[in-house]
Amino acid sequence: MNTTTNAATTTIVYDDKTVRRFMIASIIFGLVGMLVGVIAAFQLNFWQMNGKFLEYLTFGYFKSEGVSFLTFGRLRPLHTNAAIFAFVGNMMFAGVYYSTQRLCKCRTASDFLSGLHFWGWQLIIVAAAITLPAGLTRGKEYAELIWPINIAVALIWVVFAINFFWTLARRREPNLYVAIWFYIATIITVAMLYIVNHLSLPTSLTHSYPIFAGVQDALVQWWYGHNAVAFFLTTPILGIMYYFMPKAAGRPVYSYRLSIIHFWALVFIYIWAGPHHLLNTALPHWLQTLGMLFSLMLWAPSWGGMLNGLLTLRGAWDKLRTDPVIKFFAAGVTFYGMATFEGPLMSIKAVNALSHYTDWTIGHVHSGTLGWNGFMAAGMFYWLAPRLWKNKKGADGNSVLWSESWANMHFWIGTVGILLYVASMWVSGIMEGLMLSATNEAGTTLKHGNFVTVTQAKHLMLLFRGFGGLLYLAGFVMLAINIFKTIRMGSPVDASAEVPAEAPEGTDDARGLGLIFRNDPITYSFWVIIFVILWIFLPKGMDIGALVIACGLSAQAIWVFSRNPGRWAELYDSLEKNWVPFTILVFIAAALGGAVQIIPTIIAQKGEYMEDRKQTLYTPLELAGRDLYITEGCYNCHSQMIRMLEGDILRYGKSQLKDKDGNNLDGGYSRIGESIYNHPFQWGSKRTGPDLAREGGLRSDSWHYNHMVDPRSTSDGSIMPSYSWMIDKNTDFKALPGKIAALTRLGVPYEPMNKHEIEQGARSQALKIATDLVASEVELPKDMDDMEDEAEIATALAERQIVAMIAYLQKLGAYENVDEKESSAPAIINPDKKHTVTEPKPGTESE
Amino acid sequence: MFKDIVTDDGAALQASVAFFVTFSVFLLIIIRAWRARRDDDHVAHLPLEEDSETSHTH
Ligand code: HEC
Repeated sequence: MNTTTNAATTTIVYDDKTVRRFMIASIIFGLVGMLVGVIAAFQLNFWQMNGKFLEYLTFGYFKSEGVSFLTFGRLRPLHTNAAIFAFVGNMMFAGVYYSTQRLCKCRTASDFLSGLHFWGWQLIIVAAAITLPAGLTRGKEYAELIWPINIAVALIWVVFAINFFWTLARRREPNLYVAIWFYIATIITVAMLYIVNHLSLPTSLTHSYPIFAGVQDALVQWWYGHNAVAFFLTTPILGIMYYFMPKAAGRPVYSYRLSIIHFWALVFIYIWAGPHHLLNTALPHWLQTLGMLFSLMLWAPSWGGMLNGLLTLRGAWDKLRTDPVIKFFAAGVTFYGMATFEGPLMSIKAVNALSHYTDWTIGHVHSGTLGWNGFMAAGMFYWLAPRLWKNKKGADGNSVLWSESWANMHFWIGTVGILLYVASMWVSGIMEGLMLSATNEAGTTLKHGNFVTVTQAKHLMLLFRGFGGLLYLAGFVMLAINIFKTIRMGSPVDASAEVPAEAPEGTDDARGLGLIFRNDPITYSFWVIIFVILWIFLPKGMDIGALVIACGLSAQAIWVFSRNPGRWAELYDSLEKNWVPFTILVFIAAALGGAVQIIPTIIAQKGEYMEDRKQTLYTPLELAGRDLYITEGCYNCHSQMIRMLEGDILRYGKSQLKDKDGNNLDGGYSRIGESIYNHPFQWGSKRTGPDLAREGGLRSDSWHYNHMVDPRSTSDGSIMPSYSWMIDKNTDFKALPGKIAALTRLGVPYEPMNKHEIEQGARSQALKIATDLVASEVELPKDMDDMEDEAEIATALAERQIVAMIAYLQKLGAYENVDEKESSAPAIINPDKKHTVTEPKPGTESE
Repeated sequence: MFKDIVTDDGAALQASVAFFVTFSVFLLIIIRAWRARRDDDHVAHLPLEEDSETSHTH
């Protein structure tokens, strides 16, 4: 394909077909993902949207209170996964494939791998779209896909990585442009995050348990979850910004030096911030503090990036009025700035106490996804379309978009949509946070004891939110039509370019690898970081020494730098020409934060080390109920974590359960040991419904039965979906021995039980609950109408899912007090142990 | 010492310290970037290179 035109240069043809494919896929899945989002939004206004509406649509022919695969708990994961992995994922791949070839001055290394990447990724999306509504899930947010799909994702990601790095290795341009750094960070870090957070032990082809439990799982999940935002929704889009914004503005990036600082600070700092999703919870304090500190520090590099992007337009502001591409980019970067200002704010413990578990968080996420991701995608698509499909319809015969005014209209509709969305969620979230924790003057009783009062107060705001989303979707439909028309108007074109025939001197020279070890900036950064980490972990006294050394080294580094700044710039220049050492450094920078937080937690926070409370293990039946809770995605509305906050403790802290000696349990806020055996953890991130951490014993079995079948029958005005199919479907008792075996292997200390004991145990516990239900005259499933004998009915009912679910709900909050003992947990890796922590004594806070 | 950040009232103070240190570092860099001329070296211009006109149609 390459034809040498003269000794020095050669003409190559870029692979733009792959770019076109990813772009079209992104638009299609973007539409689907957003539509599902709008439906899920309105489900929180109208519970009938969970399936009952089919009854109206078919004039009563199809009778149902709720359809399992349409309920909120199953659709929300579909929405989030589609938006993140299908919409932004495909958009990112389009941008990466387009810009990398041009920045490397060579065609993507392998057409076969590009094709495999494309089709593999779409297949994964289709598999997700089938399994998620079917209730096949791992029960961890944005990590719901089941293990066979996880493996496929990992494999396809490796295909992408090979194709990308192979292209870098074949490049004809020595310097790696900043966009490429961001792509490198994305590929390396997402692989690391995805693999660690998806480690699980399968119990069947479609089910597995994560290998981490309780607090460990919580930490790993939010290390992943937060950095999915960082390295899937942010870094690749920043790379795209650094490539496409200069292109659209016709001027180079504002400050290349700023982009260097921006990049390294972002990659290093972001990874530490995960625990800000777990503030005021049972997560060890030192981790919460790290999460808060690093989140606050993140503001600076984020705004550095935003300013660099916006200032690139300096001198091209006039285009802002006329060019829709520039409009979308400028607004997208501004929303990025807004979201990255709000994020650190919400990471302050005191603000988080109000904002966490409320709609504020949902609004925050959407200013990022709709404003930043969605608008950057739109800008890029509008720029790419007339270049990937050429026409001659422009004034001077150049290739143009089908309609600029449609693109402008899209911009305005989209902007109004985002503002409506974000503003209504601020109001809703802050109101919700305030109402839920409001008490009387003495602070002894809640002002709004009934949870539904708050649900109903949010109704109007949620309606505005839904319309905001609908507007945004309408704008995106306009984009789809505009691009479709542009495609129809032109024909696909693969661009070509004149490039050097050989890689110029200095590209990936042999000296490269040595660079990592022999260079001042890296050496200083390394030791400063080491001493800061020692400051966290060393015992009192020694830790101050470590801090002093860290400060001293920093001062020395500044001094060395100021003596000869040019030398550091030169060093960086050679690093920039060597992709292998560059990639290794990115990996180290990105891996560090997670390692410092996760490894000590895995070692120190285990069931056998728990000091005040330890979770009572689930019986097999309760475990079956728990797996149903995960299947139905109840965690999308319910948390199981009572924070160390007055409002939380007052509302949710009282325990109705007794210990084995018959004494009432103290309750109060949730302790680390109370969920230590939960694979996966279910602390949740959202309280559309009340917290369920101490639900056990609060309601009768028949209350739960009626509530699950028809929430409105027990809780007037509830928006919880009806789970009426749970009285018809059977529990999978046969799967239980395998599940218990898997959990035992993962370290849950079950007494040895054989298959028979497990199944029998589950059945007899179920029969007891079912017998009571029958006695309390609940409305029985239709197929039991012709059964006469109560015992026969109870036996049949015991098989149903509802019974397992009730067993689980009644167990929530059960724990044993652990006798005071010296913990055998290694203290050095638990900085909370350094001093006696002045926590309230168990129980005193609930008085 | 780190512990003091974690539990004591120091939390608020030291969080602000961390915040303002990073903030000032970046402010400094941004001011420098603002005052410096636009970097117009080879690397920064990479995205601006155009595809050649010899487009390839299928
Ligand atoms: C759309 C959000 C949503 C989903 C999904 C959801 N719930 Fe709820 N849930 C609520 C709301 C709102 C309430 C409060 C009103 C009420 O009692 O129905 C509630 C209340 C409850 C309560 C009563 C708590 C109490 O004692 O007052 C229980 C128990 C419960 N839900 C269990 C579940 C289970 C189990 C699932 C999954 C099968 C589930 N919920 C799914 C929103 C939801």
